[in-house]
Amino acid sequence: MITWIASYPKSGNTWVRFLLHNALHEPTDELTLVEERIPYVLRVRDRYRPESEREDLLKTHLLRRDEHPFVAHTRRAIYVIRDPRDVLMSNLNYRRLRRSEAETGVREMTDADYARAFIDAGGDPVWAGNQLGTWADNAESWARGAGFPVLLVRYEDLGADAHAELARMLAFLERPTDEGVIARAVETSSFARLREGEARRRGDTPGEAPYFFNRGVSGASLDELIAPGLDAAFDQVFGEAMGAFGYPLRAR
Amino acid sequence: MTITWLASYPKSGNTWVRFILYQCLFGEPKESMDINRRIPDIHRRLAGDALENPGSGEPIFVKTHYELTPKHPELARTARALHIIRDPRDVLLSALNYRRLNGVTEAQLSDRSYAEQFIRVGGDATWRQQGMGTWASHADSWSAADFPVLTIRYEDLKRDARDVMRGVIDFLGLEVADDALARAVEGSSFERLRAMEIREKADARKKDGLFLGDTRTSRKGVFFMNKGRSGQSLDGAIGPGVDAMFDAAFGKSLARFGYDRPASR
Repeated sequence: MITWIASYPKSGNTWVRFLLHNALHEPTDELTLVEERIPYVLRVRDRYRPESEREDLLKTHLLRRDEHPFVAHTRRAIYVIRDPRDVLMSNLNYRRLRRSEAETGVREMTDADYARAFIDAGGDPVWAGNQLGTWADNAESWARGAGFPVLLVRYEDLGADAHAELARMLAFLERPTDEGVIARAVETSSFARLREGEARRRGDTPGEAPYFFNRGVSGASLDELIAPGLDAAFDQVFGEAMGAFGYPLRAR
Repeated sequence: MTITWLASYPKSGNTWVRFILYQCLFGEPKESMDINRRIPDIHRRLAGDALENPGSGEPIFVKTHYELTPKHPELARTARALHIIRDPRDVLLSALNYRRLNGVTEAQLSDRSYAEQFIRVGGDATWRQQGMGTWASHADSWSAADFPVLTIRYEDLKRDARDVMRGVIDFLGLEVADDALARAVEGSSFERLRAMEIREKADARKKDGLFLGDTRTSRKGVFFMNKGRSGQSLDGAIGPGVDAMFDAAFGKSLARFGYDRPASR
């Protein structure tokens, strides 16, 4: 059976996977080890075989629908959700990272253009083509009427108290919740530790952006960071779903 | 009042060019159908569009996918044509996506059957019936026109849309400032147009967008603004052997239009 670690991209999925991995296995700051034990479903779909006796953790960003690979073998899911404004900001960083890694595949766009496209589409327009839906569709597909138990975990709560959130997740997974193990997992999955590992493997010292482990902003104002008028447009498109998931509007 | 044709085989970037041109001439569109109002589509006329209701003698731009023959509609009013071509392998894959957008399922028509039919016919069979010719006959017909034609490539647009569109604007005799052109290109990026498509399809009140499909196809990840890829391998996308089959059938016309280089694969 499968436990999904589901989320829209740039919402803390990797952070959650590190926390769980470092509570359930020998702690590491190596993303490749975590990817091996809690892989992205699309990366392993050709070779993965679910077994009813075994419980596997798999990452997914796809909309939950009947065509989702292996969804019939679901035991439960953790859905990680994040303020969509911060998702937008985080992806701006990610796009810069991709651009500096490889010039191909990422179109040059200004931040304001990207923000407008994200707002128009209710999420990243390219991700929508990968069966992720909009931000709201993605969250609703997992959080409402899934037909299996779903634990909603907020990125913002992880930032405020990762210890408590990890304990909650382990309880949901019916795993032991040893305080010492949790404390060690939180410590080894901290932003500073993961960024340090990334810098070490990249062969430079932590400092210059962009990094994959990017200090998550919470509560960013698009008007202040990108261009005036974006926050109001954002609220108009995302407002209803944000309200349903308990996120405050920001435009005044 | 004369017509400048925006001519291309389907799935070759005509909509993209129209969006850029529209923004150069008229500013940001409020909705996708604005494009068809000011830059009419000969295959999908709107009441009161620029063809029916021309302004004060200014030239108008009209999109056409027809092969150029003496029977082409409105031919007598032709001033010139902008002709857009695209690597037919990418056209094939985009045309296949278009079928899926139209609700044709894999069970009804497999990827491979579609590709084999496209290769056998030399293009989409339905489009040939509709007067668009084959990919090669279409490209040949517009290349051999007896009025001025500027041919541009989808691949060059992708590489440097601003540069290519500067040439287009000069050819069309328009005056567009550099910053206006830059805005028009940025405002017509793949992401912006895909975003407009998603927004319009999610809007229940809107029924007549430029973009085929609906929220159902959106959830499947199938969009009119599909991928915009170039140099795709048919073997990779469809299955082994398709590229060889394609090259055997399209060989000469590929070379004629410069799409035979291995780098385009």
